Amino acid sequence: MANKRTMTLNLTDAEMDALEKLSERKDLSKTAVLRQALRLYQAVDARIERGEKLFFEDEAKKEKAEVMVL
Amino acid sequence: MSSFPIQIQLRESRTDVDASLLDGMAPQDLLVVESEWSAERSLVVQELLRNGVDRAKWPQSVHWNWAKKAPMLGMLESSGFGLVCENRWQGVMMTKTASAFARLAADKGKPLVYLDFLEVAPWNWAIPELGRSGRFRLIGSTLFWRAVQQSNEEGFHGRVGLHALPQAESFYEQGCGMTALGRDAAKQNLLYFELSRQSAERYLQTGDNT
Amino acid sequence: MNNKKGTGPDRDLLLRMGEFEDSCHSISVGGMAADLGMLPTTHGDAQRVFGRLIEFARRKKSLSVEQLAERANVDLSEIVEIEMDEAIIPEVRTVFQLATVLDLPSARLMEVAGLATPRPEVSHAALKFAARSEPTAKLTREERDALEEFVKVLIESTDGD
Repeated sequence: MANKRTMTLNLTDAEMDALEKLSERKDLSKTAVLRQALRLYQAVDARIERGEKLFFEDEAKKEKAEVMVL
Repeated sequence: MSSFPIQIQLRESRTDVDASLLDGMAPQDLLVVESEWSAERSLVVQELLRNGVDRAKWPQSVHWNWAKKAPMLGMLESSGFGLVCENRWQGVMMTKTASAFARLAADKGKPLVYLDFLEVAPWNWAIPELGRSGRFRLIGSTLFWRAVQQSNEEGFHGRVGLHALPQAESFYEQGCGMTALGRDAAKQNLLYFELSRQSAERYLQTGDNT
Repeated sequence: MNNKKGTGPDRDLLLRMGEFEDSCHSISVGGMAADLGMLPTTHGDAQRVFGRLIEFARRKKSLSVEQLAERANVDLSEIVEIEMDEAIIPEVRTVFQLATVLDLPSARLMEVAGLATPRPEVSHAALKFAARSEPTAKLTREERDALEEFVKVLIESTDGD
């Protein structure tokens, strides 16, 4: 794997709580959850930059909602 | 890029041959792959045409172009792996680690390594209709093993997902122990396969690639 | 480059997998059509029939893939990619060269290829063509009719450009 660098991250209680819940639900370490979040954010951002839109689709309700990404 | 020693086999004699399994491929490496592979691809196509081989029997990746996939390697979630032997790329694989999630009931919503692209070099293709037996074997199997290792390194417990070409379905289901989860309309109706955490265990017991 | 040490795959497991790998025509992963990576993916339905249109028009002229590649001065692999790949967006030059050799209007062919926004009549004709045609070794009478009707729309919608 690639070389890694360490950083300190300050989170609020609510943020840490969300991270812990995701970590448990996704069966991942907290570091891995944050790494996944960064990868996904970069992938979404690259597609938005290319002019694509991000949608959530509810197949059962036949609903499609555009996700606002700034 | 880092390299890991591995053994593949000459297809005719089944003799073991030393090879290197590389990870961390860069976009320019895919340009080299394409330049090495495209001449052989053209040769295969010409032979297929000349011999009047039914299109259904053509290798279904005969028209791919790895150079076009190069920009994807600039993304954090994409990784490129390759197998080198005799100073040539013998097989290449690209995976994604963030944008796909497990669909099997036991693992639903959990992260997995999504195997985006995998192909072996055209001179390794066995095409009986052309009397081509292919130079090396075990390349696809080795790359798939590497995808499971990556999944483990990422903390995904060996979970892997992929959409296989129809010609490749039996390899992933019977050879790799993946579960078929139905055709995917969003992916050209290809069959989606997943390796569960449980099925991945056999790859991880003796495969400590650290 | 770092050289890593460690245990490789279990040899017996790998050899068992290899038997299944050998029994498949291909073990490729990545879609029937070449994935174009970072290229835009939002093209109309009309574009998907481009390959079939080229294949039919080529066969109508009794040209082999190799002959078409030679006459159009386009790589053989590119013609194969176009005919096999529903999602390909060809090079502009290629479309012009093919239009010339196959006697098709180049501006409309650009629309069918997904390189320009298709006029409604072109989209409609393309869908109709797709519904009536199947890739086969020889053009059937129905396929010939379907092709001629599609080409007629392409030519008619070119008038007055």
